[in-house]
Amino acid sequence: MAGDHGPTKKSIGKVLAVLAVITVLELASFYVLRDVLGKALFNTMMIIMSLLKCFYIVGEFMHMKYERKQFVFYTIVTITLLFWFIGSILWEGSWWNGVRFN
Amino acid sequence: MSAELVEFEHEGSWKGGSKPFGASYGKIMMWFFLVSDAFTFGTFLIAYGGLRFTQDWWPDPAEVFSSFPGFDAHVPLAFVTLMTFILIASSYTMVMAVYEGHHGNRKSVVWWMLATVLGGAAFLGCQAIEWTHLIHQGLSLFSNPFQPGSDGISTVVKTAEEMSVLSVVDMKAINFGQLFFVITGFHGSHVLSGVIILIVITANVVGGTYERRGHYEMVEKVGLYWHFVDLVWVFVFLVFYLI
Repeated sequence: MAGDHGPTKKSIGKVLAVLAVITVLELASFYVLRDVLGKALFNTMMIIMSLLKCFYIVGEFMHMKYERKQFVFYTIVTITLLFWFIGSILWEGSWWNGVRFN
Repeated sequence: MSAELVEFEHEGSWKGGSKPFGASYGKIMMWFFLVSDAFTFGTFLIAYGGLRFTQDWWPDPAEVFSSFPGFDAHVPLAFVTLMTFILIASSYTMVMAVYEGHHGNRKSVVWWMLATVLGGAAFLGCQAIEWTHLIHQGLSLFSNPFQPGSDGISTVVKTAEEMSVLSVVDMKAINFGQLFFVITGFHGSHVLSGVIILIVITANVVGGTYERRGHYEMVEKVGLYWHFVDLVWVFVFLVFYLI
C-alpha cells in the first residue's frame, strides 16, 4: 500500500517475532526432520522457509510493502532473472555430474 | 510514518527534485545498487550450487559446523544460529532507528544505531571465531579436511598428515573451502563496510546534520543496505548450513 501508511512499532515487532520463530523452526527441523523427511523434501522445506523470511525482511524492514506498486514490480521483476540463472547452472552442474560419475 | 517526513526541495529533476515512484532519488539509487548487489551475490551462490551439483559427495554441515566456542560439545549449527539471531536482532534495531528518525527523535535514533553497530561488530567477531576454528581444522582454499567416511555418506575430519597423502584427484569437494571462504568473506566484508557506514552516520546524527536537513533519510538508506546484508545471510545460511 502506498501513501500514508507506514510501519508501526507493532508491525515491526511482529516481523521480528516471525523471523525468530522461522529460524528456530529451521534449526529444529535440521535436528529432528532432516533424516526423517529425506533430502529432497527437507531441502524444499528449508528453501520455502528462507523465502518466507526474505519476503518479510523485504516487505516490512526494507519498507517494500509501503512503496508504490510500480516500484515493487520493477525491482522484483529484475531480480526474478536470477531464477532462470539458477535453473540453467544447476542443470549444467548435474549434467557434468552425470558425465563424471555415471 | 512517511507522511511525517519533512518534504525537501532541490533544484531540477536531475538533482533529485522530482520523485519517481513516490520515493526519493537517494532511496531509489540505493535500491538500484542493492539490485545489482543481489546479482553479484546471486552469481556467487549459483556458482556454488552449480559446482556442488557436479560433485558426487559433499561435506555434511552437521559435521563441519558442529562446535561451539568454549564448549567441548557436538552441537550442529548452534553457533551459526546464534550469528543469525545477532543479525536479525541488529536488523530490528536498525528498523527502529529508521522509525524514530521519521518521528525526529534524535536521541532514540542514536541509541538504536549504536545497538545496530554493536550487533554488526558481534556478528563479525563470531565470524572471525568460526573462520579461525575451520582454518585450524585444516580447511583452506586448496584443501578440505572434511572427507567421506568408510560408508561414503558420513563426514570424517582428516588430520594434516592424512590429508597430505590424499591426491587432488582423491580429495572430495576440494572447492568447498574456496566457496565457503569467498562467499562468507564477501558477505562479511559487506557487514564490515555496513558497520563503518553506520558509525559515520551515527556521528552525523549526534552532530545534528540530519536535524538541520530536516529529515533522517540517510538513516533510512543505510537501513536498506543493512537489511539487504541480513537478507543475503538468509540465503548463505540456507545453502551452506541448512541444506
